[in-house]
Formats: sequence, C-alpha cells, structure tokens
Amino acid sequence: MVHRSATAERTAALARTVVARLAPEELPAFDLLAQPYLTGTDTSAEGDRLGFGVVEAVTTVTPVVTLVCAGVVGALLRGAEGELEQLGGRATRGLFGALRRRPAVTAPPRVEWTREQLAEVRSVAAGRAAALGVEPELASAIADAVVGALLLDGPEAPQ
Amino acid sequence: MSGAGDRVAATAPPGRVTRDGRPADTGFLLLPLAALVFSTVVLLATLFTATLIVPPGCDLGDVFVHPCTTMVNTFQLTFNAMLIPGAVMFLWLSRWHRRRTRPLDESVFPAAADVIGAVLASVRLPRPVEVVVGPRLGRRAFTGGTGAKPYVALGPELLTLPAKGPAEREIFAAVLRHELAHVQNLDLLRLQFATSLRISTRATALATALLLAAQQVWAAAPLPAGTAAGVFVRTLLLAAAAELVVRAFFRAREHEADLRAAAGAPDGMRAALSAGPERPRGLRERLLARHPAGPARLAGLDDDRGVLALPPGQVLGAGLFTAVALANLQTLVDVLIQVGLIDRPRAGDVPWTPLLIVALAAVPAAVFLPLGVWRDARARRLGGRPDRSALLGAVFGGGLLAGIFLAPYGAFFYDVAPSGPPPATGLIVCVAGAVALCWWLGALVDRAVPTGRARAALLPAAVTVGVALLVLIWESTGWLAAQGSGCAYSPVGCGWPAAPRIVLVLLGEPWATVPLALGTATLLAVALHRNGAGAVTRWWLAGVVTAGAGLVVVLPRLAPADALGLGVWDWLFRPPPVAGFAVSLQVALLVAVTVAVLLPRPVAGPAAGASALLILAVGLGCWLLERTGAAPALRPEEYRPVIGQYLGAGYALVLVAVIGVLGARSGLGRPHRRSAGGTATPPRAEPRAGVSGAGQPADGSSVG
Repeated sequence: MVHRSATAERTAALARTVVARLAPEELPAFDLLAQPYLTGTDTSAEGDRLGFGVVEAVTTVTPVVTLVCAGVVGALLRGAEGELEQLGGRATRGLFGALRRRPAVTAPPRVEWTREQLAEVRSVAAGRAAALGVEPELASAIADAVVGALLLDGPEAPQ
Repeated sequence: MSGAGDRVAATAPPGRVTRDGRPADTGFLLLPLAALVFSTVVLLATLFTATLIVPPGCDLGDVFVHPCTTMVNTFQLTFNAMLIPGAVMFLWLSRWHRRRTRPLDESVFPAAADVIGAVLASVRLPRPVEVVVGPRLGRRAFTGGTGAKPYVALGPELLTLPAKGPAEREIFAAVLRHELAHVQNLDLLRLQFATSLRISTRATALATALLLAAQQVWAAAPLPAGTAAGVFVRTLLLAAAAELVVRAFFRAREHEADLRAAAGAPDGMRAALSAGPERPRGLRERLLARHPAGPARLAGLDDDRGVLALPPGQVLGAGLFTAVALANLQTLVDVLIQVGLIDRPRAGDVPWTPLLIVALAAVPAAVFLPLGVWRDARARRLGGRPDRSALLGAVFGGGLLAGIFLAPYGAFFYDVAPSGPPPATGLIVCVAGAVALCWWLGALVDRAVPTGRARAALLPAAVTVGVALLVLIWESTGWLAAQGSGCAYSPVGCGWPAAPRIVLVLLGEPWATVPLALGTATLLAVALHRNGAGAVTRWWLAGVVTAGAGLVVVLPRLAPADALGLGVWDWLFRPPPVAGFAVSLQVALLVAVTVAVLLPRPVAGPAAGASALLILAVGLGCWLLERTGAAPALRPEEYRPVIGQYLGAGYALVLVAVIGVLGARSGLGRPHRRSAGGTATPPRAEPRAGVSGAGQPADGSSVG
C-alpha cells in the first residue's frame, strides 16, 4: 500500500463515498483508479509504445470525483476564499484540527453545516468539475453527491 | 464475438496476411534505415580502427598479420559499442515497463476478466499473451515484452469499462483486440528492431563526435573546425530523420492493428476512435506522434486503401538513407583500397569486389521500392486513381540527392572530396534513374498487384534490377562529381554531353547489361502472362522474346558468339572488330522491340517502353560520341565498356519508329473509338410517327 498524506487520505475518503453513490461498479477498483490522481503522478508518458493511445471513450467517474474532492478539501483547507472559512467556522476549524493531528487520537466533533456553507461547497465542487471538462449533468451530480457525502458522512468518515 | 476477421485469421498465418489477403507486413519500411545504420557503424568502426586505436607499427592493411590482428578485436568492440546500445536499451525499457505492471485481479475487475477470456479464446495468437494491469496507465493500454514473451497491459480506467454496459464492453473488447493484433502482426519484433536502429543512429552521432574530438587532439592534420562541425551537424540531421521515419513506421503499424482489430470488433473500434478530439493536429504533432489522429484512424477503417498507400515522406527518407549508405560503403571501399586490403581495379576489368560491397547498401532499397510501389499501386488502383510510381521515383530521387549532400563521412578520408557537389547533370541523372526504376516497377504490376506466389516470383527480378540500377545511378553520380575536380582525367570528356555519356558507358558494362536485360525480359514475361492466351494469339513470339533475352546472358559465354558478333559488325559498320557480347544484346533488344510492335496494344506499351529505355540509351550514346568528337581513341581492351554505344546507333532509329507508331496508333485510335461509341456524335434516332415525345424527355437525352 502506498503511503499517502493526510490530505490525500481525507480526499480519498470523501471521493470513495461519492463514487459509491455515483458509480458503485467502480468501487472495487477505487484504490487503483484514484491512486495516480491522489499522488499527482504524471501518467502522460506511460504506454507511449505499441498501444491504442488514450481511449477517449472511457467515462470513468472515479478520477473526476477524486480531483473534484481534492479541490473541495483543498478549498476547505485554504478557507475557500476566506468567506467559506468564515462561514465554515467551526467546521473548518474542526477539519483543520483533524488534518493537523496525525494520527487523529479522537474523532473531531460532528460538523454542523449551514445552508450557505453547503451551497458554497457545492459551488466549489461544480466549478471544479466544470473546469475538468465534465458534462454539466455529471458535474451537477458530482457536486450534489459531494454535498450529500459531507452531510451524511462528513469528511471524517471512517475508511 | 467471432467475426469474419477471426475466421480468416484462423486460416491465415498469424502476422502475415490480413482479411483480404493483402500483405500486412510493413517491416520493409525500415530497411533503408537499417542500411544507413549498418553502413555507418561499419565505416566508423573501420575509421576508429584505422586512425585512433592502432597498435604501434601497424596499419590497417596489416590487420591479418600478427601482432596487428588485435585490430580485429578493436573493430569488433567499436562495432558492438555502436550497435548494441539500441538492443540493450530496448530490453531495459521492456523490463522497466514490465516492473510497473501487476497481475490482473479478477475480483477487482470481474466484467473485464470475462471479456478478456472471451477475446483471448477467439483470437489466434502466435504465442500465449498475459494480460496485466498497468496502475499508471489510466485510459491507455499497450503491448509490451519481447517477441517471445509478450504481454498486454491495460489501465485501470480501461478495465472498469466492461462493467458499465454492453456498448462499453464492445469498446473494451476492441481495444484489447487492437493490442492483441500487435502480437499477431509480430510488431514487438519490429519495435525491437526500430528501437535498436533509432538509438544506434544516436550512438553513431556520438561516436562521430568522439572521433572528431580525438582527431582534433591527436591527429597530425585534423579536419578544419568548420568541416568537423559540418560532419557532426549532418550526423545529427540523419539521427533526426531516422526518428521521424521510425515514428511514421509506428503510425503505420497502428493502422494495421486497427484494421485487424476492426475485423473482429468493428463497432467497438469505431466507438473507441470516435470519441477522440477533433481538433486538427499541427505539423509537429503529426510528424512526431506515435499514434495517428483519431479521424485518420477512423478514415483508415472506412477505407483501408489509404493505409496501403506509401507515404512520400517514407520514400524521401528511404532515398536519403540509401544515398548515405552508398556513400558510406563507397568511402569504406576507398579506404580498403588505399590500405591494400582490396586490390586496386585495373582499367578494363570489372571491379567486382568494390561493386559488390557498394551493392550491399543498395539491396535494402531495392527491396523497399518494389514492395512499396506495388503496395501503393494497389491502393491507387482500388481507389480508381492513376498510378503514381513515377512520382514516387521522383521523390526517391530527391531523397538520393539530399543524401548525397548529407553524407557526412567522406571528409574523414578524402583530402579533396571526390564527390564535391555533383553537377546539375548528375542530379538529373539521379532523379531520372530513380523515376525509371519506379516506373519499371509500376509497369510490372500495371493491371493487377501481385500477391502471394506471383509477388514472390517477381520480387527476385525486381530486386536484382533495382540493385543494378541503384549502383548505376550511384556510379554515374560519382563519376560526374569526379568530373568537377579532374575533368582531364574523365574517361568520357567534359561538358554537358559527358553526363549522359557517363551513364551510357556504365550501361554498356557487361555486369550492368545483364540485370537490365533481365528487367526487360521480366517485363515482357509479365505482360505476356497477364494478357493470357486469349489476348496473345502468337505465343511463339513470346518464345522468341524469351530466347532473345536469354541470348544476352548466354552468348557472351560462348566462343561462337564472338565470331558471330564479328561478322555482324563487319557487315553492318566495318571495320573495327568487336566481341559478340553487345551484338547479342542488341539483337535481343531488336527482337523485343519487333515483338512489342506486333503484340496487342496492352502488351506493346510496357514492352516497347522497357526496350526503348535501353536502346535509346545506347543509341543516344553513340550519337553523342560522334557529335562531340570527344571520345578517346579506343584500344582493343576498351571495347567492352563502350561497345553498346556503337552498336545502338542503328537501333535508335528503330526505337524512334516504334515509339512513333505506338503514339500514332493510340492517338488516332481514341477519336475513332469516340465517334464509334456514340459519345461525340450520338446516333440520330428516327422519331416514329405518333409516339414522338411520348414518355421521352423533351431534349431527347434518353435516345440511344
């Protein structure tokens, strides 16, 4: 098992929850699918031999979800343009605390999300998905799933 | 999942024939590059051995004398040092890629495992293929390993595809078939070969730099700095050209794999390729990409004639590499002659050893050209487009020209470059010779591209004639280049008439007339065979032609032939005595022309054309010699090289008459056919009373 940073672990947890809702058939291979995107491995030079080239018809959800979740977690860590940090308040502080405690000795308190906070998170997720070139419908579904994952499981969901 | 393609694949040898029986082997595209690499490596190893790593008191000429035999080891080491890195690099890369894969876990990708099992069961493979996961491959897949132990690596994103639905399952199966098609087409061997060649071109460039640097330090009279820089830059340009050719070769192999995969999963292939980006590729991307663009691949599936066509860039590269290889071996021959390892040829003798060494560089191109031209002719014919063999010849000739100027290693040996830039006439000879060769190859397959046995039967003759003609082109260009530095020593004088005369002198060489006559005979045989018994009503003429061509080879060996030749010569021209060799040649050619006139028109064209080239050459030579008066007085031992020129004088007139008659026949025949066919002057329909205009267009266009 490749060692990943705490941020990557949080991202993977959130992405796994989202993938379980959007594309459960990809869940068995989640680790394989998400790994290059969690570690930022450049795969562009791989397979540049006798190969098919990039199969554009592949519509795997996990990579997109992983990148979107990485964006959301990053935004939370950075405070999401300041406003989200203010709105997040306790949630962000709790998340920061959780991320900085390695390993977490105790589970952070349950995050109470306000409507504005969730809207902001959804906006960040949808924007990130759109920036990745995802179709609007799928981008919306991913954003909804991210918000749902935060509401139901939270970023501290057990792995 | 088994389709028509699989049924054919099950009956055809793997990797040799695709679904329509067309040869799928494009390995010949690499042959000129191989000639470049091997000739360069041999020459550089010789130069290293002769100049830098010489045991005290030894010279290259003493290589077989103890204790100088250690030079053989030196040669071997430097040879290996330049040739082996490519193979080692390929093996290292193969291991590196293999280590980055892991076995396929069927519990993680159950749907993909099902499809993989089904596809593997439906495809005939030359050897077992392992399917593994490449964790970093993403949406890619590739075929790796060696020819003996191939494997297919699939990215995890690709492996999730079959679980998403039947359409995605088809796409996954198509991608897998594409990868397996690489194994079926034996592409791993070609990849290994191509990788070795492209890396060897870089190794030779590096070795050249080392040689130049060492000369600057140790040699008593090193090359001027500008010349040394020019040599190095040219080696870099050759390495860059090799890279471009290899990448184009990879793109061709991808097309072939697409076609083979589409035979088993056509819908999946289209779906897999249709989703690609539609933005046009820039020139740099098109030249350097290892994969063709998606639209081009789709177009190849819709119309595989484009895949068959021979890219002009490949032809240009082939000409370039061939010329450099010829120059390399010519330099090697001159080095070996200078150190005494090869006897210096005497005047009047055929320099067989130098010729054979130089001919080695022409063999790959002589295989490349027929296979490529025939392949291209088939593509053009299937598309209903005119043959472009002559155009390909012009492109090849252009490559030869570029190669003459790019050949870098002559500067190491020649104090005064014997082949400084050849004059314009030499360049014309170069292109004209290449065009004639490709035209001849195209004429061999004028009406049907041979496959299988017919192709195998034609290829030896094509290669023989090709080698001979390429060597002739090279020697002609070399002589013309030498003219610039020593006009007074030129055997055929100076000025513009000297250019064709040099070619004619070479055409008159006994060794050259044999393959050229073989070319004529082959063309006649093909034309006769192609028209069948129904078209050729006088089979005895074919026998005469064959016998006439055979005379060219046989008669010079027989003593009575000389007597016959003397008699004929005395009777025709008198007085100088000649050998019978050229007489027999001219008689055979005269018979060929006569037969060509008598045969049906489809046969007459190529037959007369082929004969015409030779007879025009010898006849023109005679005329030029007489006109310029520059021909030196012949001594008896000099008759053989120039004999064809004198004997061709009378037959040149026959040739002109033949061409005139054929041209008149075709020119007069067409208008006649048009008028008879009703296109130019449609027959007037007599309107019948009472029905005029009923059910007919008002303009009467349906009449007739």
